[in-house]
Amino acid sequence: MTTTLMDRTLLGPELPAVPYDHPFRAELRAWLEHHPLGAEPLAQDEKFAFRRAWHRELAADGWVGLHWPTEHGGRGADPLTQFMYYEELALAGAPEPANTPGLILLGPTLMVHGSAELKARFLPGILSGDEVWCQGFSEPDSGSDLASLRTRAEMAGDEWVVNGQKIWTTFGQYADLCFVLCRTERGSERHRGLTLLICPTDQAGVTIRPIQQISGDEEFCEVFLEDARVPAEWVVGEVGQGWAAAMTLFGFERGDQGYTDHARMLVALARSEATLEESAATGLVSQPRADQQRQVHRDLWVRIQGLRQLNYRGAVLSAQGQEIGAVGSMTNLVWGELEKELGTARAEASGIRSIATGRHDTHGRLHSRAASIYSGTSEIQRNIIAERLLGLPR
Amino acid sequence: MITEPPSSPDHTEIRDLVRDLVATTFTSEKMRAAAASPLGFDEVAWKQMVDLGWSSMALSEDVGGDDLGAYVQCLVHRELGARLAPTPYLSCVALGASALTMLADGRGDDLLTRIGSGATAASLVLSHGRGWAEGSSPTLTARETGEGWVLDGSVGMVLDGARSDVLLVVAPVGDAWGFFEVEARVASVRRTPVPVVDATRSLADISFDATPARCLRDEPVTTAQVSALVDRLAVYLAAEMVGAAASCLRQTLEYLRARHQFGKPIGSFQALKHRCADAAVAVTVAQELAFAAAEMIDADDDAGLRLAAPLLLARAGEVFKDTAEECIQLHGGVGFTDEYDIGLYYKRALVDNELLASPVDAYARMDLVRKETIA
Repeated sequence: MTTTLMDRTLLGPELPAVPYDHPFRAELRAWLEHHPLGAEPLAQDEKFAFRRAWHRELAADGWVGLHWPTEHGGRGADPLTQFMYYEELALAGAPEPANTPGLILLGPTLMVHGSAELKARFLPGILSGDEVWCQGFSEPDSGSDLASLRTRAEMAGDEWVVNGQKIWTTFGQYADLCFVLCRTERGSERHRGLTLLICPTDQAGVTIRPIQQISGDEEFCEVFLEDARVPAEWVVGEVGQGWAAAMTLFGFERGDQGYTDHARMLVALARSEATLEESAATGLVSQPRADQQRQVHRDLWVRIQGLRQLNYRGAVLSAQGQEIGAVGSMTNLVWGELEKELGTARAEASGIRSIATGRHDTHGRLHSRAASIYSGTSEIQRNIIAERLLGLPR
Repeated sequence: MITEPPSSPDHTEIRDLVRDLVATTFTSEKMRAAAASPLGFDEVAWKQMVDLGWSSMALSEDVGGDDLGAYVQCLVHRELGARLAPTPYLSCVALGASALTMLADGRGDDLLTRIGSGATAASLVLSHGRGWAEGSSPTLTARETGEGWVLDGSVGMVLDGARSDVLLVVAPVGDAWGFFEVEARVASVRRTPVPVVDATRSLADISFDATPARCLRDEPVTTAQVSALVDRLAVYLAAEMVGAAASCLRQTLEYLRARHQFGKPIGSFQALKHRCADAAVAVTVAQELAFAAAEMIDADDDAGLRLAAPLLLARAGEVFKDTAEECIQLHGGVGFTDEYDIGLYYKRALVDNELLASPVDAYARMDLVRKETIA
């Protein structure tokens, strides 16, 4: 059995540094053609299992963590290769590998700030997908204002003892390990006195409670830390320097070319366009509604082309070794707003059917409402752009 | 804007040279004075631009050019747009020279050389008015007589049509098109200047009455070739729009930092900040699209440009107009006075959105190309 891959013309004009006839694309495409995916289940536990299996399948042939250095099991792929990687995966209709946060956020942060021992202990499991990671940053009273966080850790004997509560921890219920940002200096304020710890989740002091979303998913969790234990040396970076490590992680989050995934959006949009035409032909969607939705689809296509160009600029700059922080805030803002509108358009393409549950488009529309909120709300991104990039006063 | 596409040392060096000269040559006062002068532009400044090689930078070496490519020329367009510089650069160097390069079969080389040296100003006249050629309705005819070719008919709103020495005309011949050179200062050519809202741009209605024309190419020009020319023109025009939009926003940011109300700079208010952030992102994306399209010209990626050019023209047009409108509002009362330049950017946006194709028409073209590409 083989997978049918969608045509690259769907992505828009060819970009010079990532040509469609690049040998890397051919190599990945050949592999993808012989690794059929099947349809991703809608129910979350099955979906996560599906993604975990997909992660392992990719990892078995060295197709995850391409941007990781070879010493850590990656290919040392440059950002332009990553760009092509995500485009080809999207054209194959591939899901996210289960351990994406580990691959793009936690692993790379560990490489920058972790000790040799921590890297040797944890990186292989991230790559193989055997150990799934989650991130414990936000707290109930510290969302956009992260530096106000209150979770604290103190040394007791040869262990850290952690107390507090985290929230919005993505796929915490499936995770083996959690990056916990906590206050280790008594009386410290804001970004001082924070430390980034690696906390095992399978212990009495850690309770993980999924939060049900309007989509029915439970992608985010509350994490209750009640005398949770962390080995003394499981500190990422220096004690008291957790803010720097967190900032490094945010840099990866904003900069990752897959996170701001234009190719997946373009594939979803093409499918939505096809669905709309079917719906118009069968009368499921009226002609006035179809006409209006065609305009919506076109507008989305144009704007996703803009996102693609921004992502491309980010990849080119990163490949030249330049900082792309600025590009990251923009792609995040553009991506979040587009994702919501795309989710809406996909559902609208099926008219009244889109209110029935148990459908990917119904689910997708509800799910997409989170896109401009998590990883920094659109409003926070606009503040960052206005203050740090445009120099407007605080 | 937030990102800066040109990153090679060659490009940034040229950019800085152009930027410095444009900033001193086209200050607000000088720009306004040049636009209000009888000629509509500053001849001394134009001569200086020619002497620096800006009019020949993208021409091939065999016609005296430097063969630096469209990307570099777009850097000049962007900076000229940023200061709303009144010059014949767009009509002559972008439109005229591109038409000669793409459509004439060697017979236009003498003219190209003269455009490059500033000796001749040429304007492009598309017999279908403006926009891509497919499905258009020409208002000019060309016919061959015993004494050669002659043109009849009229075309409205030709950029720099009244002040050029030569008119380069694309007119229908049978099922295809012919490409002609017309001496502009002859009795059978009537040129009527049409004052437009943006005084830095000069337009004219032109009519021909059995006007003798020199045919610049034996083979017919296909409709696809005319549209490929329009693709290229769209990139140059978009580069000016992007430069103007970014400059308009930069001036607004300066104002928001300086102007105080309620004891604070008004730029500290989140309602205004967020609008600036959105505008900056839009301008940044449009600029990325513009320079990506310029790269396609230099890489001879005609297929890519067919899709990228109408997309770019539509987006650059919308973004420029939206940004200018936002900037007036962000300035408050002074935004709609003539004392500030912001209103001039708005007027330029209105004109630039009509020059080649409106965003709606550019999107229609984009849809057509997309359908072909996917089919």
